[in-house]
Formats: sequence, C-alpha cells, structure tokens
Amino acid sequence: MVTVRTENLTIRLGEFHLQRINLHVQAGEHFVLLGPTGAGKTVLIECIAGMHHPQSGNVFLDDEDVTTKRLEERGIGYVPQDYALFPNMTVENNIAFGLRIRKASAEEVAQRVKELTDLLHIDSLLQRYPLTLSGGEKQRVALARALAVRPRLLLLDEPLAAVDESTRDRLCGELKEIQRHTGVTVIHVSHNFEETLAVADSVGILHNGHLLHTGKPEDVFYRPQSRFVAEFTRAENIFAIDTVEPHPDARTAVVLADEERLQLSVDTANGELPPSPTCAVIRPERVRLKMSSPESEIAPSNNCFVARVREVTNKGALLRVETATDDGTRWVALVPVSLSADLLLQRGQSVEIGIDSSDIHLL
Amino acid sequence: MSSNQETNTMHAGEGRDLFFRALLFSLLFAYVGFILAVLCADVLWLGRHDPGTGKSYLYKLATDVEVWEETKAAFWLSVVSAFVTSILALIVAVPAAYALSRFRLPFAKVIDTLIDLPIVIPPLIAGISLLVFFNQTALGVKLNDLLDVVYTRRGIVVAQFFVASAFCIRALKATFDQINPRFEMVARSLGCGPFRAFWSVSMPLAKTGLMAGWIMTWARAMGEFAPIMVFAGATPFHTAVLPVTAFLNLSSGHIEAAVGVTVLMIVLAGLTLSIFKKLGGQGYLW
Repeated sequence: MVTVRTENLTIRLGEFHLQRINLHVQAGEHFVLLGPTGAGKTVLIECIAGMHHPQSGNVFLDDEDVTTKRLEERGIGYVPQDYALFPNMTVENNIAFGLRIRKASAEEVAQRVKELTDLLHIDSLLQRYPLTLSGGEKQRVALARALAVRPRLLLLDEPLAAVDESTRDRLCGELKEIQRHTGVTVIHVSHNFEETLAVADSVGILHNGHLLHTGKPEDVFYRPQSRFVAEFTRAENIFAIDTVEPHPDARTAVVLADEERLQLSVDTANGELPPSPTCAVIRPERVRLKMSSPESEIAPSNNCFVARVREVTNKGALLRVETATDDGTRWVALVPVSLSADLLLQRGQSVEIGIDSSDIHLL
Repeated sequence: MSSNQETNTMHAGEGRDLFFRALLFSLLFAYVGFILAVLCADVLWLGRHDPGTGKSYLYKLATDVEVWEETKAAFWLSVVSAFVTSILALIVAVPAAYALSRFRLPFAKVIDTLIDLPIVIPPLIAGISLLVFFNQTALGVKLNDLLDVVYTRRGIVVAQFFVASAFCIRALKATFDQINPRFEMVARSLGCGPFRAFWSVSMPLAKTGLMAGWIMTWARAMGEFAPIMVFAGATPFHTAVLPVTAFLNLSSGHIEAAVGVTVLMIVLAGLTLSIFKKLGGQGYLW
C-alpha cells in the first residue's frame, strides 16, 4: 500500500503534451483517472510506471522520489488495456513469471499461484493458453499476474474495455473486492462513467493533457469545477448565467440564466457561491418530474416549471426524458422505469419539473 | 424500370466483374507460367541429346569427374560460407533490428535508407566498393592486414555479409514489429531488466521469425555472385562458389555443367523457400 504523488509532471511525446500534473492518491485508495480518448490517461500512468521519463516534475511513491528509477525498480503492477498476456506461456506460467524472475522457490510459486487463482476464480484455466481465453478470463489472469509479485501500486489501463456489458458489471464488483482484500493502491484508467462510479474511491478528470478536477466521485459528478467536467460527466442541464443576485440572508441567491428565460433559486448556505459564476449545472437524475394538471399554478421562484416531453429514451433501468418549456428552455431528466408508468410519459405530454435549490451547482 | 431492363443491368454488372477478374487472373497466371517455363527449360535441356556424342547432356554431366569435383567443392564452399555469413548476420541483425523496431532513433530515415542500400545497389557495384574500401582506404587496409579478406575465402563471407546482413535486418525488424512492446513493459513491471525482458519474452516470441529470417539470409548469401567474384575472386577449388562456378563453366563453353549447377541452385532455393513458408514467413522479403 503506497501513496502516489506527482508534482508538476510535464511530459511531451510527439504532438502530445501532458502539462503540470499534480496528482495525489491516498494509500489503499482505488483512484480512477477518467477522461475522453486522447486525454493523456495512458501516458500519465505509463509515466508513473516509469515507461516514459518526464521533461520536468517528479513522481513520489510515499515520500520516495522515483522519477529517475527504472520501471522494474518501482514495485508497480501493470495491466495494460490489451492485457499483454505472454501468448507462448500457459496461464500458470504467466502468473508465475514475476515470481520466477525473483527466484522464488517452486513451493512459494505454487502457493502464490493457488492463492491468486482461488481469489480470482481462475483455477480451472491454469493449463490454458491466452489465445483460448475470453476477455473476462484474460482480465483476471492479467490481474493475477500483476498481483503475484505483491506490488505496492497497481496500474490498470482500461481493464474493462474489452469485455461485454454484463461481464463489466460483475468484474467491477470483483475488482473492488480484490482491492479491499489486498489493500493495494490502484490507479485505474477509464473513459466509462458507470465503471468509474462502480469502483472509484476518488476520481481525476483529465482532458487535453490537463488534470481538471480530482476528488470523491460525488464531488466530481455533483460539484464539477469546469464546464468540460460537467459535460463529460453528463450533467445535461447546463445553463449560461446572465445575472446573480445574492439574497441578503446569504443563504440563497436568485440566478437568471439561459438568456434570462430561466430564473433559479439557488441554495448558497454552504458558502459555495463562486465570485463570478458562469454556469448553473443540474444533474438529470436530480430533476423531478410529475404529471402537470391544467390548473397547476407554477411559481418560477420555487424552481418549478411546466414543460412538454420531446423525447423519451430507454436507458435500461432509467428513462432519459428530454423536455422543453414554452419559452424554449431544454431540460433533461432521468426517471426510474418503475416510476415512469405513473407519469404516462409520451411525446407532447405536459409535465411539471421540480428542482431542489441545493441541487443547483454554480461554476 | 421493367424486369427485362433490371435483368440486363444485372447482367452488364456481372459481365464487368467477370472481365475484371479475367484480366487479373490471366496476368497472374501468365507470369507464374513464365517462371515455371524458365525453370523447366533448364531440366528439359539437360535431357536433350548432344548431337556430337548422341548421349544426353545429363549423362555427359554425370560422367564428367572433373565437373563433379569442381561442383562438389563449390557446393560445400557455398554452403559453409553462407552458413558462417548467416550466423554473423544474425549476430548483427538481432540487436540492430530490435533497436530499429523499438526505439526512436535520431536520423532514423537516413539509417533506414543506408540499411536498404546494400540490397538496392547493383551487386557488381557492391563488390567494387568493397574492393576500394579494403584496398584503398587506411581503415580498410588495416582491416585487411588483420583479417586477410581480399581475394581469399574469408572475402567470400565479407562480400556475402555486406548484402545479406541488410537483408537479415529487414526480415528481423518485421518480426520484432509484430511483437507487442507491452509484453516487455509488463515483464519489466514484474522485475525483469531490459535485457532479460528482451531475452525471456521477445526472443521466444520471435523464434519462428528469427528462423525464417536466418534461412532466407542463408539462401540470399548462397546466391551472391558479382560481389564475390569481384572481391574474393573466381578461382576454382578456392574462391569459386556455386554461382561463380556456373559462370566460369558458361564462359568456358561447359554449358551442361553451367546448367547442372543452375538446376542444383534452383532446387536449393525451392527447398529453403518451402522451409521459410512452413515457418510462417511472410512476404516481407524481396
């Protein structure tokens, strides 16, 4: 278990530039580095692993500066996106490879291989070759091989990218369990929002070589620090702010947004009102929908609006409901399928939208 | 559109497809046929009768002891020199090909072009250049004093090495390019140093490609003619390898001996190519 810290880490690889990355991962934490393709996630973990040397900045494992240390000296387990299982070796030999390099005795090797195959439920695969394994099996074998040498830090590069949806859900749970069982610090690269929520203790959002936001998943998703983070984490209701009028009691503020078509009452009791906010962000799962009746009297100051359903998309357990008010403000809500029957959701249906003032985040 | 018109359009489309395929395959088979005809001509010619003696050229060849001895000496000289060359080429080509495949080198394009040059320049020019280097430059003369390569059997290896190594590097680079570099990165994360990662992970994966590359390098060295003749000489029983022996026989009017050596070399080339294909060698050799 190790704390990982990077200080002003800068690396240029061809056209790609990773700029002044300051990352802090607590010991025993499962940290997910989230970002779109080409953001620099793989380069960053490869730099932490020691595969690339930075132009400037440092990498610390606990308090030890390992910036100039070679990959094999850092005590890091690495699972690349394609797993890179040695195709000419059986599963058993793949897992035992690192132990044999360390000249472990045959007994030690056998015992450790058994421990890991039991933990990862792959004991039936020992004599198989990687070419004959499914995506999920390869992922477990690669994980067992990396864990065999008891690394201080485990780097997982999109470990679930090559498995189907149902396997991914199961493996997310297992990854979390293995991490708890071994206590190893994990840095996990992903571009998948659901995967991140399922496994992360902490999240870092990387975009165009910049680390934009790090924090607990709920901080990153519900209190993003930039418009990109809000958009990337699918906070679909993002409105440009025109004016902000703080209330004298300093507990609320009235925000005019979306070209003054939208008036929102925002809870600022926790003191989070930024000096000059530009956007109001409301996550779609925090938008409440209910059937609107013709006699409904809606007071905008209560963050309630009448809108018409434009589109309903089935997302499995949730329905994504896109609506628009008469003056053109677009709202997106995620509604559990179990509630959708009561709402009779269909195109053109009039619905009432309600927002809690504490669910509005200004940035 | 009526159904008749539709049928006509479909038929016109099919006709164009057929014409296109016929064009491709006729040219392909014409060339393959040309190669076969040229190869068979040698064998068929040996079966023809000499108007002077009434015996077949093959019989004449089989009963000529001097030709047998000369060909046998040239055969073993070719086999052994090509073997030594291919081993030396491997020793140079494995690290060189690995470096070209794995690292970003300064002036990579210049280095790449220089490596291709011995393959592309006319073989005679390669021989003359070797002769100039070892006879006319201070470094070359010193090396020749040390190794004694000009007009000697060692010179055969040097002449073969000059061309075959470039060829070997190309073949092995293609092999290393096909091996995922992440295998080595993972091996290093598991505790291997760079050399051990290369030796324990990449080399076993490159084994088949290395064998195929080595065999084709040997075949290429066997076939070298002009650089050997210019640089090592063409003395029978001394520096005359198989192609040189074929040329000497042709020049002195021993046509049946020249054709006999030619058939032998074609059979050897066919065998090595079959082994190469069996080992999964791909079309990266030229």
